[in-house]
Amino acid sequence: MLLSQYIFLFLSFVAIISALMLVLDKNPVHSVLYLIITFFAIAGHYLLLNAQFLAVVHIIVYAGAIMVLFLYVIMMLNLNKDIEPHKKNIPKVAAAVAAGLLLLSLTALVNGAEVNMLPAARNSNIGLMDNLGKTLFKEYMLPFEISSILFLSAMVGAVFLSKKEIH
Amino acid sequence: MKELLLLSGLGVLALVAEIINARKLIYPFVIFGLLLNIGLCYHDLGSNESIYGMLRLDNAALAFTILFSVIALVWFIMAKNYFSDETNISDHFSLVLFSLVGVFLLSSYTHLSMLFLGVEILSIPVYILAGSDKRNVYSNEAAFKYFLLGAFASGFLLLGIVMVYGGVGSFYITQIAASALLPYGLSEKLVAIGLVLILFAFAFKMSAVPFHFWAPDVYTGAPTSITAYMSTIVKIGAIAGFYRLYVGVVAVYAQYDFFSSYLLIFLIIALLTIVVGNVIAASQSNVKRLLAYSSIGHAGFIILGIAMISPTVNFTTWYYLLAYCLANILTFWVLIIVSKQDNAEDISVFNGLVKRNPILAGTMTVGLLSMAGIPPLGGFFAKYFILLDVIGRGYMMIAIIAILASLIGVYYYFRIIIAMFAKNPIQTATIEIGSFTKLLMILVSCLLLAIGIAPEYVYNLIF
Repeated sequence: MLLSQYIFLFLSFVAIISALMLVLDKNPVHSVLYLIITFFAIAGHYLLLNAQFLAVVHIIVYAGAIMVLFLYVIMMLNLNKDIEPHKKNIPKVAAAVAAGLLLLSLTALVNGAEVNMLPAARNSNIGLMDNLGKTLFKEYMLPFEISSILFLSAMVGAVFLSKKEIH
Repeated sequence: MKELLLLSGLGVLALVAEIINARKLIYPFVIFGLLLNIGLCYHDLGSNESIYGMLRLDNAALAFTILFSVIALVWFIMAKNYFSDETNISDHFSLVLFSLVGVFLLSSYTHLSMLFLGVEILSIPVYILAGSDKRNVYSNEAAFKYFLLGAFASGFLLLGIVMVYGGVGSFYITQIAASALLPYGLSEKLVAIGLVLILFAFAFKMSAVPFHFWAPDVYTGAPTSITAYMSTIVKIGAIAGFYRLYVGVVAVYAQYDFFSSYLLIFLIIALLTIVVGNVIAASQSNVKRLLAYSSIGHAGFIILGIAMISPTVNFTTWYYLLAYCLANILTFWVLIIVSKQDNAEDISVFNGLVKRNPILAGTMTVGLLSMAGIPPLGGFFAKYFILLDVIGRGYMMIAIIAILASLIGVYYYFRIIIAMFAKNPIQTATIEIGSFTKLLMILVSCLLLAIGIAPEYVYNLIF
């Protein structure tokens, strides 16, 4: 096996274990910390895929900004105690079985599928910023601009939901 | 390009109007903008304009754009009271208009990234609008439920798109379709998984069974005007998006092995949607919930029509959506007026409506009869065209089940009609409506009748 394959296995292991702990841990602050580990592992995957810029942005935005926001909300709402109400086990088992079946069928389907090298993957500089910028502003110009409508509507919605009503 | 700029410009204009204190101007501007949009689309028919290679305004795209502009116009007139709240007026306007941009993208995309953006731009404003009655717990529940499940469906959509990209190496639907004919470097398995995952995501957005569990709760909890919006415009968006994918990509893979199982899944979803939607609707007593389930049933009919992929599939889909949306808007219009008067949404509020206001009762009857599929209204021919396609393809059993299910539909629509005409009113106070509203209601009812009497004229007008 190549070194990159070992790194891939290690990163995947870390990502899956910490994602599991994120869901299973009852303390919200611990969950958030596990989420950070998951994000770092995924950033490592991006590096393996030659997506350096994406890896850096992922760490800055998710592991940095979003995480601080999460922690801030948890601290502010004083959720750091173990106040999760005890839920029944049947829905948990049903959810686990359903998700497990989905995983099983997807892996069974992907397993044995002939996977071709995509043209984009042959270029090792694909993830560098100047390539990304060129693609974004040439081929993907319209989606790039249109996504501003998406963000604008999300912002308007956030303001609308948090605005005080005057009667 | 003009249509895209016009719709997004209107949304931004609504926000700017808040800043410059011109809230009164938004409403006329929006009505004018939508009329202009219909005119522009009608003028562009046949132009086949390509926008940066990402969108293509072919006739199907323009027909769907005209359709949702017309319905949005009627909706804006219907939901005038929703926009009377002074504090939030421009937010409401801009959110609705931005989601119309999403519908436009869904009806004209040629690149899968635009498909995803369209679904998101359509959904995110609607999640918020569903919760726009902030003091109502049910509205909060509706928004939260819709958001969580919608995010999940978007995840499936993205996974599906990635699988298709992995199998073909392109996001352009023309290239994905072309690789079906020239399968060099094509991974059939990945494409099959991807297309099925995208089907599931769209089934969620179209509230098809078994992905419909969110729909009744969300439709009941959301403010009634928004429920009307979700069961018409959002449905047009999801169906137009899926139609484009199915006709442009999936149908091209018809000679591949996976297509027969794909079609089987699709037909099962369509049939279950028709049967479950109509059967559960028959047992509802809340009219809003009843209409929610009946809209599930109608979605089933439309996707059954898409699955048949006859030469006129674009017209049958479009026509069904037109007839269904007009009738649905009419019934919601009456429901809003009546339930506001009596502060309840039970079938009993319709008791003796004909004595309280004959125009409302007449409009409601026209809407319900059209949805039940009674000739000569639009709804009858919509169902008739689709059933004709189904029988033409040799699926006799499916046609019989669909007809039986829509007979159940006739039962529950007539429950409301009987309540209006045969029962004595609980409250005897007459319901007053403005003469403008009265005129528009009669106009839309006549439109519904007209498209039923002359479907071939509608066909020649657009296609």
